[in-house]
Amino acid sequence: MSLTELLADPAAARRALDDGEVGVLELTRAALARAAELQPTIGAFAELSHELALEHAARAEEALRADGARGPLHGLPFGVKDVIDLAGVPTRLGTPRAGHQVPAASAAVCDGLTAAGAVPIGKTVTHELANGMITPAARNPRDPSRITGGSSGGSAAAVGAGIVPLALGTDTNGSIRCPASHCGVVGLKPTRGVLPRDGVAPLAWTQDTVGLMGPGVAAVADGWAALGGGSSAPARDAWRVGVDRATIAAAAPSVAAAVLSGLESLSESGAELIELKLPDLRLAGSASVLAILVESAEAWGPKLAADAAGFGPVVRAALHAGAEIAADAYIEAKRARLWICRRVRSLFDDAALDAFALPTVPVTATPAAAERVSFGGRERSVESLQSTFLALASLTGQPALTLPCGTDGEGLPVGMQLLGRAHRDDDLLALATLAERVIPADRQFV
Amino acid sequence: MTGPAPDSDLYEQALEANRRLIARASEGIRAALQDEDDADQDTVPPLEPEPCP
Repeated sequence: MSLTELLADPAAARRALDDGEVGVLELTRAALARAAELQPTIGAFAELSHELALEHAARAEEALRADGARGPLHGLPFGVKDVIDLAGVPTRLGTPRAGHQVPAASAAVCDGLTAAGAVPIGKTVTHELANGMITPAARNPRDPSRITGGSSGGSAAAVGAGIVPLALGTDTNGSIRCPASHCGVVGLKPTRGVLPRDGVAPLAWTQDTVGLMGPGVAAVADGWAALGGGSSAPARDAWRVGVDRATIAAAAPSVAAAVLSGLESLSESGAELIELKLPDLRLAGSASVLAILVESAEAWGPKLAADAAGFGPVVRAALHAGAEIAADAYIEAKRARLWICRRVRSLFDDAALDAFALPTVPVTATPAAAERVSFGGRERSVESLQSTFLALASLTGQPALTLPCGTDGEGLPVGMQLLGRAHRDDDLLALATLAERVIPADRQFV
Repeated sequence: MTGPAPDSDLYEQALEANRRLIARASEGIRAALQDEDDADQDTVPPLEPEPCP
């Protein structure tokens, strides 16, 4: 296999490294070169850290040659969303200057991956402050005229383009799952609070979650295990998956068709589909967005007061608007969250569900210049549409994963989202492993 | 000839859009909580809400 093919296939890359067919330094240089080559087209990286990457690669190479075969991430390059600190590499958060710093220490999640032998090659671009669903600075590797989604758009683009087989992102209202879906990769938002957030810039403290993206479920599961999230769940042959067909039908026709077909494949492989009705997703979206506006205004208020021009105009406006929200509105949003949590818990408990399946995003990646999109006889805002199916798990804190389940008529990826039970991330990954095996990622739906 | 909107225009548009969003979301939440018999108005939200389910 070529180096380019190895970067997109972590299992093959690991075998090649263990067999001595390729060296860690060689693979790292290939990743850096591919990132630089694709930067004008997809702009996945805010900063490539050549020196740091080669230092880590040299250490990983030495350990590999001294001790022989290592763990599944050893020697594999990874990308880091630019709201997560990587020692010695600038953190810029996608802002004009607010919050810029060169951290002395790495975030715990970066340390966890490098301790497993993975090699950080740079910072991936983010929607400003991780507060948006487009990531304008990055373009979709499947079609560079289209958005990646956001806010972890650079991480998704880097994985989707085969630059790195693993990337770190953050998800406060869907920011891992949205771009992963649009770029045709797997994205995991783990149970909130399990992975440490130190060294990660805040947006909304009750919802911020660090997670992972990879070309397949295995890479994400390996990253999850390396970060202490868990190990592979035992194989199972019985799964109960909740389905709300009315919710699925609210997506664009090609998206709904791909998700329903994927569910059919899951059913044929032994998963039992349970027809249920989800709580009101609009209520979840409202409660989530109010929490984000208030909490981000609180987190960034001092910096905003000191240097408003350090933020772009749209984020500055969001922070100012968040500061205007009355306390009773915020408290009611939190009451709504508790009410939704009770509803979702009852849904899972009463039907003994392992997971709930729904589309990740209602539409595939839209053209970069489009602000509105039409389907189902209605015109909607591209930005606000992205989190339609994502806010629920952000609000409840339960784990959620997206995996490719087909493409639309233009070959753009469709994601299926699986919501799991809190602290049962391993089960979710095991179900996703089954889903990945039985659902074709390239079947086209019109 | 038109170019990109200046920052001040973008800021004002975004501020108004956020204010409309906040008003709509707050109203929706208030209505939903009033409609639900078991929306426990006495419940104090925990500081670090546990993930669920």
